[in-house]
Amino acid sequence: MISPDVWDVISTLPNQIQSEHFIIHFGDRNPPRGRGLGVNGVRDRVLILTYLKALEGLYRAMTAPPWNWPLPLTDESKKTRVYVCDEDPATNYDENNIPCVLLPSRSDEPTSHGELLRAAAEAVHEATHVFTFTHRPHQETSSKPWIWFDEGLAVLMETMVSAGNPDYFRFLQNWIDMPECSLDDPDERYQAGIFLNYLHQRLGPEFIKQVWTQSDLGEGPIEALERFSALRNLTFLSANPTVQDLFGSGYCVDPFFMWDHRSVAMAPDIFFRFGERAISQSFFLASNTKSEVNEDMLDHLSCRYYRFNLASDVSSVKIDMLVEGPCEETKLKAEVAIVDLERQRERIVALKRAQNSPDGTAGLLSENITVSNGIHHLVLVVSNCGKKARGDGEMHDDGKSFHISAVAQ
Amino acid sequence: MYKILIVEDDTLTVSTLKKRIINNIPQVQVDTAQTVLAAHTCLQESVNDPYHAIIIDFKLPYENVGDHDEVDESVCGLAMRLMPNALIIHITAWKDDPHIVRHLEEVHEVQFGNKAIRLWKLDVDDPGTPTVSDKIISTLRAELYGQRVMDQLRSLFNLEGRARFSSSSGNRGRFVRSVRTGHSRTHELGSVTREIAACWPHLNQDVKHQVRMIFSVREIENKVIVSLFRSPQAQRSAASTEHISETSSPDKSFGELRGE
Repeated sequence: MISPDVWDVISTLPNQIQSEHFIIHFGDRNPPRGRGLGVNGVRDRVLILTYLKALEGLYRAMTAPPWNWPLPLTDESKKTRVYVCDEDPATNYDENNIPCVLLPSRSDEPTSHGELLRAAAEAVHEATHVFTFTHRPHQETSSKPWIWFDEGLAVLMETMVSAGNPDYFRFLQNWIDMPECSLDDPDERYQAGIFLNYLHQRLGPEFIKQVWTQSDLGEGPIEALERFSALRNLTFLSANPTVQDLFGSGYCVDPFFMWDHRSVAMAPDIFFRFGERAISQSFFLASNTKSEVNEDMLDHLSCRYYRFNLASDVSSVKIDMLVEGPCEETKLKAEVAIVDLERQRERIVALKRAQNSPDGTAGLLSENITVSNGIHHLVLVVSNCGKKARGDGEMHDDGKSFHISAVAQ
Repeated sequence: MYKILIVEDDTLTVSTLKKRIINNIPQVQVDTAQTVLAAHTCLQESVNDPYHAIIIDFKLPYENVGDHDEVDESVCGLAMRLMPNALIIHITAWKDDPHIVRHLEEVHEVQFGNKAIRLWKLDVDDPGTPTVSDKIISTLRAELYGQRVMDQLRSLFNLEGRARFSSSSGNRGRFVRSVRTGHSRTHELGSVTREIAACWPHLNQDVKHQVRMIFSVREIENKVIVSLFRSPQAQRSAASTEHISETSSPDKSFGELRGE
């Protein structure tokens, strides 16, 4: 929550420190002379200097190649104003639509080191919003569908500018534990930082900047991602098993293998801290056995993982996935990562569209996978490549149910 | 999404009102009930997803449309019990009926301490004055948009803290603390300011006053800019008149303003 009297506090902050591109307004908790600001004052200048260093670091990163972001809007001082008091961090704007930043005067981090890491991350995060504000002001209705992308970009910049700072790990818990959560879920918008990081690794910062700054005002982020991917002869979303789309075949598969040094989503630090992403169900398959998942479900832009541990006598595994409606129309995609003894992906096999029920109410995706001696286990990745509806009368591609069975030989 | 219930037995009135509400208020769901029993069912089935406003005719048939209608207070009573925050608008063609007059005075003003909006169907026939449905639309906009803005302000700002501290100490701004979550509030603020700007022309003065206590609101031609921060020029201007505004604008909490 924010204090309704935040402006009363801000307008009386007695001190200023300026850098090349920012002016920080703040007060001391224990000034050498005069009345202290209590919770709205800072303990000492170390916090303020940490903020300044991070803000300038972000400014340099955003305005230099390869980002080359347009300069932020400023008042006559040509600098962005930052106010430090006892509030959550936030970016808003003044009557002239000039963005300003609010940063906290204190921290609940138990150590000074943690406090400064948090401070650097929050400063970078909010300053990113100052840059993104120019093209998509927060108060505009057209900016609403872009909130998750904006937050994801701010988290990405935390990881880049404040390199080695693990503060963004605080956003990862649900990304690890709930892969079935939609990418654009407004309640989980910070975990989009991992997605933006993935885009950054695969397509570079120019792509992200292009999506943000060159998309049409009425366009949503998924539509823009689709359009700009197509310009690079890539497909952003496709449930077609013959298409290697960026979302289902890329973002849903790669980040499961954070320890894989060949993966663009390699993140040993995240893996070390959290382990692998949550697996919906694991099975042990011996020769001539069958395992089944009764029914599972996925909302748009999300995925689930299933692991098949294999006995040494298994030479092949046939995996079937039953979906609602004809398999040519399903938004669900299923791909199997075959993992070797060193826990590296040997190859990826997509379940093919096999057949539909006579009445067209169900479809079958299927593949028979040959397993060699060096294989440790299989990971089935089921992704929903559908979207959230944008127009009235359209339906979200949510609640897509499926049934998995696996037979080992 | 706003939810509105119309309890009225006259089919033409129901359809006209429903159409006008849908055409004038975006994202609205309008349910209708033409008998007392149907209204009770609607209210009971919506307890977990209550109506924002309930428009009630006083004279209603009990079970079947076309039956003899009687002055009914049970729908209003049930609505106030199950959905105490809903706006109640009474419409009637019988403005002098003593039973109805007593209900408005005793039930709404004395027993519950709130004033239901009362509108008379006969106003429809009065040339040169706004129709009942015009009044209903403007009332609904002001109240519903105001409710939504206040809900958003409450979810983001510690208004209760302000009311408590300002009433006990009279020292606005010094002791009202926020409860920090550690997460960026950028887009919550964007959402609130977007909402306020969109609703601004329809908000009542109480809500506008509350908004101005937190935000700067600038109206330029047809555009409203609602911002948390003030420009350096505005700061200087405010500083020079600070003592005047402090004494001329009494610090009323939202609770006081709404008579809660």
